[in-house]
Amino acid sequence: MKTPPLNRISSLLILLTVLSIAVWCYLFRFFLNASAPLQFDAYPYLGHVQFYLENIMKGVYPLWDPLNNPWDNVYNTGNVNEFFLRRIGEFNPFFLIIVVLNKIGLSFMISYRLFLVFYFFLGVAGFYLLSQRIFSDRLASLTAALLLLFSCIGASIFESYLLLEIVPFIWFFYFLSAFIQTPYQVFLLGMTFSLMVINITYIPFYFYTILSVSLICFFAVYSTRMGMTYRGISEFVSRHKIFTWGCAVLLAVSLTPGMLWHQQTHQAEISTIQRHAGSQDENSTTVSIDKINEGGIIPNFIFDRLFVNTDKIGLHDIYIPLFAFLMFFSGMWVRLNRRLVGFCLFGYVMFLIGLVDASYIHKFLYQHIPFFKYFRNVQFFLQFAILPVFILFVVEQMRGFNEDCQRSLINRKWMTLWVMTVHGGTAGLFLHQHAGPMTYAVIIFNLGWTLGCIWSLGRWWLWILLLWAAIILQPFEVYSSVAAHYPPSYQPGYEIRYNLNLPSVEEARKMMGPKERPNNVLLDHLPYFATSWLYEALESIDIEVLSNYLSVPFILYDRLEEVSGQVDRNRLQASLDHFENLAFVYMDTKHRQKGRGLSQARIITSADQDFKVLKFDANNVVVKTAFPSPCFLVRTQNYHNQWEAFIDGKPVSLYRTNICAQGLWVPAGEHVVHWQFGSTGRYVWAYFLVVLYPFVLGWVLWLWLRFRASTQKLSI
Amino acid sequence: MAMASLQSIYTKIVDLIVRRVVFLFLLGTVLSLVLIDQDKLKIKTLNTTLPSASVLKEFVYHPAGMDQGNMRDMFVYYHFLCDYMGSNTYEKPAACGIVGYAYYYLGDEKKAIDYFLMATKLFDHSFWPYYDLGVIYFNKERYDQAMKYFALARDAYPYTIGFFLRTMTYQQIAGLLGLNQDEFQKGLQEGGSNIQKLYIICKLFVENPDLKKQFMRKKIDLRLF
Repeated sequence: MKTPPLNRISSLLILLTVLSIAVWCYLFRFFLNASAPLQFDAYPYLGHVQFYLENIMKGVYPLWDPLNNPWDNVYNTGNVNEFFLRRIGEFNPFFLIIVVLNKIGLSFMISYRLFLVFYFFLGVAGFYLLSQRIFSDRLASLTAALLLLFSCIGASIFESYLLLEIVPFIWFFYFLSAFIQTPYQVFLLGMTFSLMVINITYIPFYFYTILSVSLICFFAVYSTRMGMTYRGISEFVSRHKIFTWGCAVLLAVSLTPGMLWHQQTHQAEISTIQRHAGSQDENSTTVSIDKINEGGIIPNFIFDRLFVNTDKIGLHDIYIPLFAFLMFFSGMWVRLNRRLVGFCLFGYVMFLIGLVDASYIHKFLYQHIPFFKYFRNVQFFLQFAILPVFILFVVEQMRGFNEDCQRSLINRKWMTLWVMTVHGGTAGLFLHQHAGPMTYAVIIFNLGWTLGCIWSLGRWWLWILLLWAAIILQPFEVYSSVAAHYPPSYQPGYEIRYNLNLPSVEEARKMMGPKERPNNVLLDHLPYFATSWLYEALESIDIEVLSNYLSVPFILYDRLEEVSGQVDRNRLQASLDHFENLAFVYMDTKHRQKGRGLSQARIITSADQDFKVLKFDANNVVVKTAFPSPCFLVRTQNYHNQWEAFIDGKPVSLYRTNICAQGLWVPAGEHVVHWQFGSTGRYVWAYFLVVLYPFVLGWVLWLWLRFRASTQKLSI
Repeated sequence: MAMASLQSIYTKIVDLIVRRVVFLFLLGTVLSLVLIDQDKLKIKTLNTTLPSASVLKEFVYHPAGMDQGNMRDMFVYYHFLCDYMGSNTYEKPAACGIVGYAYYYLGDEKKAIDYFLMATKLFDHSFWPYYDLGVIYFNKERYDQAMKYFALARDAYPYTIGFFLRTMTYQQIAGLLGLNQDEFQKGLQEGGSNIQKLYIICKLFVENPDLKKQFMRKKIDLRLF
């Protein structure tokens, strides 16, 4: 096949890119316009992002969620929000897109979906640029980008949160490859910024595993070129010492949120009970090897909808366009080169890691590399690493196939026979499985362009069009029906309340009134993540009694019982059930006071004149009290050692009460009581990072524009 | 001449296979046979290939009348899970309980007891294995043993509601049987009230052998749960 003129091919490629994006948007239009609901993990992540953005726009960095994630439980007792912030990577400046779209009038639901699509397209663009760096071939790069666009990664943006990790992964590797080839400031800073985003999002150890394996494979395959690469990088560093150190400092800064979180998880105040079960490590976020072995890539590698039954495909199913497999088998006789060996080696090692206990590698890594204890969803390596590298492998095969054909390095007759066998066999398999018409069209178009390649038939634009059709036709058929599996349904946004609602007098009376004897039924579904104290309460107190008690924000006591060790659960349950005037406090209070002898505690209601809420946000509650005598005020938000309390500006002791609540002594008379979660220093650092990340992104963009301008000048 | 032709053939093979992508494919396959534990790989594929719902329904509701071939298929599947699953997983006690259930209806009482006991050792808040052990001993007229296991089942009951409903195996079974969580829980609650009655009956029989003789005029064969 003769190489076409560059400007003409560029125009056609741009047209095909635009068409492809339009096709993708059409296929997923129901998810874009919010008719089809977000699925599985994508929905709670919307909630986490919304909660964070709405608070940060009000100037509050939400380290605590007073209402708790409503999808985890409904007790409104609050939770450590940092767990969810670490999941979303809250400092990612691209979240500002949601804010901008929301401000111009779009609902949060639509703004968030448009952000997901934009971010995904950004990832695909990064993958195109990465391919361009690897192949220096626009058509190959477009092929790689289209395969990624129409793979399950695109569908999964409406079902999971992996997109938030995949995009910075791709851009990191683009900047890395660009920096190795042409060491410029923009690429080093781009790498740094990508790493900064990765370090604050979900569990960065997936990335560090991928990075380590890819570097080892790179060294193994390109060992002879290491010297040259090292010299290039050393030269750059010696010329830009301050800049390089600056990037290192930025990287160190980006590690601080993760380190602070890691510190917290060592303190046993929080737990992920299902995740942590069986782990020998005291850190509450570690996972036992047996738990990890339950997963792996095989149980999730659903082949059923990869080739057949595609009319039943779901957003979570692994899928790559059929073209990739046709190319994979057609290209079996392509000549090996370093790239193919490198991709294969990397993919195979990641595959072995993904098999968990079915191979020996994961067990070895778990025992010898500490961070392997912190992640369990090894199947994520499918989308993070194996799938993208498989695409690169297949595209390199395609290039090799084309080159071998052009250079007449193959026996045309044998290759024709092989290609026709592959395509005929595939058609036969699908015939047996009753595949749709587009599948056969793909087989025919792919056969067309491979034969055209072998025999140098046809015009270049026909060849490209056949290739494009072979890539997108089957995904068009497959994903046309996906929205039908997720019928339209109302999906409420994450409701964030900014007022602390106290019960009315009538409601309080009902809560404290006579009740049926509790059934002693424990909760049948513990929340995924909660404070250790809430778990303790849920595992020992009847669920209706506990729900009723915890639904009251503030309760006043004047009699305490000091608890050391285990509390008598039956006594505590009875006390909570009847709102007895007896608080079980887990400290030596030193302030034991005799009560007035009232049998019941007092629920603070909205009608109370001696209690007024002055301020309420995610991390702070300020109330004004005017009690006639000293009282022990219990707040039913979950106890955590990062909660601090102040009365009239002076710090006071806060005690764990009734297993999971917070209590403190309030003197008689008028006082202002302030609860604050987290230290002031923590907030200052967080606001600094909120500003730093957009600044670094802006700097990357500025350097990028400068770089483009200088390269264009050079080319002129 | 022969050497030259051999060398030529060797060069052709190297050029045809070793220098081509197909070599990576073949090498990967060979390495996989060495580096991958085939049994553990099989257990992972089993997770995605549960027996069909109709077989499972028969297995649960009409085990005595079930086709022996189907029973054996179910049994082999769960036996495999039981033997190869990690001891710390939630699924292994459930799988062992099901294997015990299958052994009982396949006529091997001793193995049924062994697997139920294995299930209880793996998770000592197991309602169903204790209950079924109690039933086995009740049907054998060993009321002292039956009483012991019914008591253990009764004590395990509050934990089991939460625990077993969370295990994937029972959730899969519930899903395949078309049961929702409420129905499953109702079944558990019925079981919970039954064992108290059974416990009392066994206690009476142990304390009053004469009563046992009167009762034994009507032979009642309890079913496993």
